Formats: sequence, structure tokens, C-alpha cells
Amino acid sequence: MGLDPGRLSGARRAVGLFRSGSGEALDQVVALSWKKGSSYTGEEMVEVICHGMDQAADRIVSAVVEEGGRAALPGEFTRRGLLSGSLTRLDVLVLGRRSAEGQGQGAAGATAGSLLRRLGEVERELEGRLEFGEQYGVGISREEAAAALSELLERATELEGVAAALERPARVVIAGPVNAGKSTLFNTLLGRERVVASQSPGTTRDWVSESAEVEGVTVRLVDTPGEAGGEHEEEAGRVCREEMTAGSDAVLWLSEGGASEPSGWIIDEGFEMLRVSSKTDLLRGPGVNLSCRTGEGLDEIRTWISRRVDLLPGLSEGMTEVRRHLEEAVSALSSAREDMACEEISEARRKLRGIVNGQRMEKAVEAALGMLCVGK
Amino acid sequence: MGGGHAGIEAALACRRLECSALLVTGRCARIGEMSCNPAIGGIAKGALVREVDCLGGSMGEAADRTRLHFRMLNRSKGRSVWGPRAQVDAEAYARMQAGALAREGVTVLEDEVVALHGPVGGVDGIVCARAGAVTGAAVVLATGTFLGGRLFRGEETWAGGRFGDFSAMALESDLRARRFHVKRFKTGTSPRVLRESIRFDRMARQPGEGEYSFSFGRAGPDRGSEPCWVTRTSRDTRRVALDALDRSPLFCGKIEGKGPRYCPSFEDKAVRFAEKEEHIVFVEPMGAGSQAMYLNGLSTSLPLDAQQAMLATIPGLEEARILQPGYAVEYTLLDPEEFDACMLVRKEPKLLVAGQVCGTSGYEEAAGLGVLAGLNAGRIARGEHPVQLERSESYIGVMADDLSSRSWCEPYRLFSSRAENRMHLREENADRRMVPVAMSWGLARGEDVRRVDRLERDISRIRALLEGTRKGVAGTQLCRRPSTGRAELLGVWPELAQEDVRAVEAILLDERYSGYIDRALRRIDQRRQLESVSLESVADFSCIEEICIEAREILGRMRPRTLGEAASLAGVRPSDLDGLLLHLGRGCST
Ligand SMILES: Cc1cc2nc3c(=O)[nH]c(=O)nc-3n(C[C@H](O)[C@H](O)[C@H](O)COP(=O)(O)OP(=O)(O)OC[C@H]3O[C@@H](n4cnc5c(N)ncnc54)[C@H](O)[C@@H]3O)c2cc1C
Ligand SMILES: Nc1nc2c(ncn2[C@@H]2O[C@H](COP(=O)(O)OP(=O)(O)OP(=O)(O)O)[C@@H](O)[C@H]2O)c(=O)[nH]1
Ligand SMILES: [Mg+2]
Repeated sequence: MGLDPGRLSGARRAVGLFRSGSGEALDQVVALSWKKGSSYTGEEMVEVICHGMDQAADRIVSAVVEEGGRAALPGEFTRRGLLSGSLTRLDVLVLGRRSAEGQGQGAAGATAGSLLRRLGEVERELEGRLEFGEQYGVGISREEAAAALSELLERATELEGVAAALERPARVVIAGPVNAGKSTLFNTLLGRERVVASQSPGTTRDWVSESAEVEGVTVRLVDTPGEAGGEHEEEAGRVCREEMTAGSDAVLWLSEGGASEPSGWIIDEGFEMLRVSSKTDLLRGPGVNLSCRTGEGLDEIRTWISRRVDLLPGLSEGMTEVRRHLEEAVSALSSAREDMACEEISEARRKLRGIVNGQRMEKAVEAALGMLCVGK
Repeated sequence: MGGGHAGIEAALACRRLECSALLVTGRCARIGEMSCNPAIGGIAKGALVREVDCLGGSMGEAADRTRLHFRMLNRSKGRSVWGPRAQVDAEAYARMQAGALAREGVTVLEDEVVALHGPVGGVDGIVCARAGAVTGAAVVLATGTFLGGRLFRGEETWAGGRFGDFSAMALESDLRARRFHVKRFKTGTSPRVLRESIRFDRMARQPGEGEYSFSFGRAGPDRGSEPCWVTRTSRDTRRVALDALDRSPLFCGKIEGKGPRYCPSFEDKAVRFAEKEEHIVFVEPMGAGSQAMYLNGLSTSLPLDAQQAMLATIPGLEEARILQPGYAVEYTLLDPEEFDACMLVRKEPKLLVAGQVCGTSGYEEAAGLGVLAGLNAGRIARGEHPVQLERSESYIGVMADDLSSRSWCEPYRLFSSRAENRMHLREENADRRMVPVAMSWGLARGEDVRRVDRLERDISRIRALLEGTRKGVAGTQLCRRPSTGRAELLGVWPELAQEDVRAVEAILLDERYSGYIDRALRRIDQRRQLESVSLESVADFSCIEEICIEAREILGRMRPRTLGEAASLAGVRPSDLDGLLLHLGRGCST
């Protein structure tokens, strides 16, 4: 996992021989051990750094496997960190992004998780100062608190920048057979006649994407040409489709009366999907019943889009609020208003917690975990 | 039952509702005794005392009339957390409280309650050792640290509710026999030493300050100020304590009850805060000219020789003669799950509970819950439905709600941070918060009602004026600026100089904190909504597909009873709450 000095804090070190189960000396190693709560994964952990070449490392790994261990899966350490709460979802996204950009480990000094924890500590210390300072002489001094806070404010500002880079609107594809009413739904959700909808099948020829507000959330909606259905996807069509659906988050599968089964690619590529029976003013069907004529089902579809789509709109906006609360806290402290400072920190924490654990993170996090390699 | 801080206020509240009240206590001479240090108030607690006062209670006035030393804690840390704290003459205070009972017509009976009267689910009175059965319309259990009380000092242990007092063993067995859920907690107190044996020249003098009265405007004559003294323990004190640990009842496992985390014994501090070299000790008089001085901060249950050896290491106390050694008490309490936020025992329509016996610690906490229990006892007697106090409006409400809604594993002490709406729960506005409700329940004093009425009228008038704009800023806007105080406001609105100072201050503070208060109210509302969704019907969390796997695991382990409890668990996210709601078939509308 590479050595960065920050990560070593809290680790105990030992140097010695690594022996196999049968007692054979394999290599001279440095062992680092972390107690529960202080390692990358938050679990009790031992890391062995061997001196020898790859061969020695391989021998050590096989020795461990022989004793009942197993090799980690890609992203497993991060996933465990997430489960134990030592990494937040935002941190995983940042790691995933860095990994995708080939930046590797390190530089993640300002993890949202550590910011959250430190803010909690500072708040507790300040509360201690308020509650017991004068009677029991405990809690930190105003100066110490101010110094700690300014440092955390810096970290928050840094994270605000990261958040802005991560943010992009969610993308929902409207797909289905020709004449299913896709373009009509697209226009309805947009609130204007953006594309042509007509009774002749095959009206839409091109992929059209447009930004829309759905229940207060900004998303990108994509209208697609109707699929011929049943037949094998043509090579040219597939390439185009893959290009257009890359980075999409979910698919609305529309068909009249729910008559048509969703195309293979939706399932194969693991898109989240909602099955919609369209034109239900004419014929009802399974799944969500939608009629753009009567408005039936529209609310349900809007809710689904705004909830299920797992992206991060408002992420940097949220981080900006966190930063503002911390600025308020710093200024309250400097005018001797500890009560307000505590309140601001506590609000900053609530906001940050909401951001890092938000529902919309889930899917993006899964994707980010997929980008991580073994050892992360 | 009980002549402690809870029992007294409960009896007085009943009298305010014009019900007859009988207070049964082990020893009349010890009514209102301060078992621990002789101080009333503090952060949050000071505001609480004022709330009790506005609900017709007597604690505030008794403290005002017997005070020796006063300090406003946190004066430089924000107005919402100012903490008025008075050192009082313990004996005079107890006499005042006994006097209040007599004046208000509470009948006092010196006897030991040995059992509740009536069948399980139908308790309607008490059984006394000498007087036999006494029935009533409602019964309040306020027996403090006495239920099955055991005292500890070093390797010695004996039965008692506090030093020199009895242990309520029979009543404890009766409660257990009635299958109430009970727990054991412990708490401790500090040695008291002879004033003459202290070298005050080796300590820092801490003068009292300021005029203040808990009881709004009904303060007694100022008794002058006695100083308190400050000294510090050293590394040697710690070593003495650590050396004696093997003879400490806490550390060799004789006491099983959980102690308060926030008011720990010195030996606790020695173990837990190894990095802290010194701890502050306040030397406080037990009474005006009294020979006994209380050593605040040195709570201990180590053996007497170790206590003496500890004192020998503390500047000024080297030669101090111990009058009453420190000791610990372990006692039985009613598990808070047994009662609700009206202090009414859930399975007993006529039984209420208040004070240390329901899991709190502290005189003020006891008094606050005492008023509430007494009020509801009176209401039950009059055939009215029991009431509760809003957590957004009072510390009493916060306390009653906290206690009854969660399972506590240590004595509950009030902190300002327990209140979401702490910016509003100020000592300064306690009468504005409490007198209106007190009036509607028949607890308010006429003079309080008139004063608050006048104040509110002044406030509305001034506020109307401040809605206007001068120099380009609305007056209310100006009040919200961090740099605005009364002087700055008068600079722009000079005519306010003639207005009541308190009214102007009140507006300034209300405006300054308004944003925080709005937010807190929203949070309380959210929390209430979450608390109202029961999860009791969920048999198995592991198969709820709407929530993520880690949350399933945590919920399965912790088994929260409500959505609110689930929300407070680390690792359970807002989306999981949505998922749970979906699962429960309530839709996702919240
Ligand atoms: C050793 C010790 C240490 C303490 N330390 C602290 C501390 O560190 N910090 C803090 O905040 N508080 C402390 N306190 C707690 C504080 O004294 C109490 O919180 C407060 O007194 C509780 O008030 P109460 O009315 O509930 O009960 P108490 O003041 O204990 O009064 C109980 C009353 O009930 C009566 N009674 C009990 N059983 C019977 C019966 N069967 N029949 C008739 N009468 C009965 C008693 O005679 C007494 O009048 C300590 C108390 C003790 C004893
Ligand atoms: N009765 C009824 N007709 C609808 C509804 N929605 C769309 N239509 C009609 O169905 C026809 C096809 O609608 P489009 O939105 O163009 O369908 P499409 O899926 O985009 O079709 P292609 O672009 O050709 O794949 C139009 O005549 C619409 O007016 C509906 O809810 N009810
Ligand atoms: Mg179309």
C-alpha cells in the first residue's frame, strides 16, 4: 500500500524473521500493527513489509494462505474501511477517481472521514470547556480550539474543491421499442417540446440528451431511437449505444402496455432499471403504469428518478455549506461566543455526515470500488 | 415518599394545585439535606433552578436566601450558556426548605415506607413501618439513594442511604417483588475537613461576585460573600490514590453499579486521565462560619488512611483534619423504561417517580423532576390528564424526555448540550418560557404572571419599533449582527434608553440566536417524527432488502425500538431510514 508517514501514525513496529507454519524462516521483515480503529480499514491489522524480492513476497503469501488466509479482492481494503466506518463514501469516491486518473495512493490527507472525526473531537473538547471548564479546569483553551478549527477549515476547503471535481449531474436513459412514447415522456419531464414525437414509428433517429430538474434534482435525460426489438443488435448500433450509455446511471424501459421485454444490454451491463407500461390510458400493463395523456404514473417516475439515480448533484454545494459553517465557528470563537461556535461545528458535522453518507453516493461508490486494484 | 430535593418540590406542587399532600421521610431533621456539596446551580442547572422557581418551586428562593458565595460561570463564553451557581449554607438551606413545607401546609410524617400498597397494576398508597397503610389519589416515589443503599469506604461497607442514614431495604424488596425493572448505580462524595486545620495562605482565594437571584426578584437579604478557595492535586496525590487502588471498593469489584462519568471519583480520574498531572480542588464552606469545609473535586471512596495521605500532598490541606471522610453509595433505581415523560410509571396509573431513584444525579435534576411528578400527581388527584413539558421549551422537558426514552447505564446529569434548543433554554428567559405554562396548570405565582405580562408587552412594543429601518438597516437586523450589544443599539435607537433594560436585552438575545433556534426546532420535530415510528414489528432486520447490508447487520445487533433510535446508530444512514419506512409500508413521504 505504499508508505506515507501519516498512515504510520498509530502503528506499532517490529523487525524480525517471518516464519512459515512449519517454522521455516522465509524473510527478514518489518511488521506494522494497528489496533482496532486506527488502521486504514479500521480493523485490527498487521502489515508485513519484506526485504527480499517478489519471490520472497510470494513465499510469504503462500505461507499465509496455507495457514487459512486468502488473498484480498480488488478494492477489498477500501470496502472494509467503508464497512467499519473509517472511510466515508466520499473518501471512496475520491480514491476511485484518483485511481482512475492513475494517481495512485497518497495525497488523500484530507479525507472526509478524518475531517468528520476531528470535527467531532473539537466539538467535544469545546463542549467540555463549556460544561466543565470553570468548575473542573478541563477542555481546551480558546486558542487551541481556534487553531484546530482553522486547520479543519483548510481541510474542508480542500474537500470542497475535490467535491466540485466529482460532481456531475445524473444521467437517465429512456429506452424501449419504437413508438413506445419515449420522446413524449422526455418532453413531458423537460416541460417543453424539445424533440419531435409522432405516431409514425421510428421518429427519433438520434440520441438527445438534455438537462432537467426532477423533484429539485438536476439530472440529464437521454431520449433514444426506438429499438427494433428481438433482433440482434447491429455492430454500429452497439458501438453508438455503448458510447451514449457510458456513464449513465439508470434506464427507464418503456413499452406500450408493458408488452416488450427489456433489451439484453440493460441487464448485461447492470443498469438500474424501472419497467414502465406506457399509454395506459389505452391499455394497462405490468410495472409502473404511465400515461402522458392523463398524467398517471408521472409522479412515481419523477420520484424514482430523483431517488434511485445515484449521483452527486449538490455535492460541492453541500461542501460549501460545511465550509461556511466552519468559518462562522471560527469567527464566533474569536468573539468569545463558544455557544455559537459549538452550534456551527455541530451543524457542519451534520451536513458533512449527510453528504458522505448520502443515498445518492451508493452507486457511484460501487463504481469507484470497481476501479480500485488489489491492495487498496 | 422522600424528604429530599425531589420529594419537597413534588409535595409543594401538589399543594399549589390545592391537593392535600403527605410527605413521608425517614428523618424529619434531615429534610432538604444536601448529601453532597452545598452548591445550587451551574451550567444548565442554573437555568433549571429558575424553571423550577417559575413552576412554583422553592429551591431557587431557598438558595437565594442562604447563599454564601455566587459565581456566574461561563460569563465569557456566550449568553446562552451562562451558569449561575451559588454556594449555600447547607443547614440554613435545609431549614428553609422544611419551613416552606410547613408554610404551604404539607403534612410531614416521620416513618419508613416499607412497601407500596395495592396490587400490581393498582398501587394506591404506601405501607409505613409504624403508621401502617396510607392510601391516596396518587403516590410519588422520591427516595433518592436510599433503595437498598450500601455505603463503601475502602474495605469497609455498611447499609445506608447516605452517611448516618438508613437503607430502604424493605421497600426495595417490595419493588423487586412487584417485578419492576431495577438497576444499581453508584455515586460518591468528598471528605469534609475542619476549617481551622487548613492553611488558606497556600491556596488561591476565589471571591464571590455579583448580584443575582434564582427566584426572579424575590431574593432575600444579601448575606455577604464568603470566599471559596482553590488548590490543586499533584502527581503525588495521584500516586497515593493509585497505590491504594487494591483497597478501593470501585476497583476491586465490590461496587457493581455504574458511576457518573462526569463527576468521577478522584481514583477514577487518576486511572482515566493518566496524562493530567493535576486536578483542581475547590475548598468550599458548608455554612456561614461553619467549621466544615467541603473539598469539591476530591470525591473518593478510598480507605481513610489513603484519604488522609492524599490530603497531605495537596497545598494547604497537608495538615487538614477530616471531619467526615469521603465515601461511595450504591443504590437501586427504577429503570427509566418503567416511566414516561410525565414521570408516570407506565403500568401503575397512580404511581409517579422523581429524583435520583429514577436515574438522575444532582439536586437540581431532582427538584425539576419533583415539580413535574408533583404536578401530575395533583392532576391525577383532580381527575385531569397528566401533562409533560416540551423539550424545546425547558430543561425539565429535555430531562424527562431523555430519561424515559432511552436506557441509561449511568446516573443522568444535565448538560446544556443535551438540549437541541440550548440557545433558547437560557436562565435569562426562564420566566418567559415557564410562567405561561405554569399559569395554565395553576402553578404560577401572581407576581410572576404580572411581571412576565408586563415584560412581554414591553418587548412587543419595542420590537414593533425595531421593525422600522434607520441608517439603512432594520432594527431587528441590526440586533442580529455579532457586534451589536445594548450600547450599539442605543447608538442608533436612543429612545430605547428609557425602556426596560431586560426587555431590550431579551430582544437582542432572541434575535442573535433566532437562526439557531429555528434550526433546533426543526431538528426536534424531525426527531419526534422518527421516534413515533415503531420498529417493534420487525422480526428480522437481515432480510430487509430496502436497506444496505451493513445497516442490516447493525440494526440486527442493536435492535432499536423506533426509527429515531435507529437513526442515532452509527452506520445507519438517511437512505436506510427511507428503506425502513418503505419496508414498513409507510411510504417514503418523510
Ligand atoms: C454519597 C453521595 C454522593 C453524591 N454525589 C453527588 C455528585 O457527585 N454529584 C451530584 O450531582 N449529586 C450527588 N449526590 C446526589 C444528590 O445528593 C442527589 O442527587 C439528590 O440529593 C437527590 O435528591 P432526591 O430528592 O432524589 O433524594 P435524596 O436527597 O437522597 O432524598 C431521599 C429522601 O427520601 C427519604 N427516603 C428514602 N427512602 C425512604 C423510605 N423507605 N421511607 C421514607 N423515606 C425515605 C430519605 O429520608 C430522604 O429524605 C450524591 C449523593 C450521595 C448520597
Ligand atoms: N394515448 C396515448 N398516446 C401517447 C402517449 N404517449 C405518447 N403517445 C403517442 O404515441 C405516439 C408515439 O410517441 P413518441 O413519443 O414519438 O414515441 P417514441 O417512443 O419516441 O417513438 P420513436 O421515436 O419512434 O421510437 C405519439 O403519437 C404520441 O402522441 C400516452 O400516454 N397515451
Ligand atoms: Mg421518439
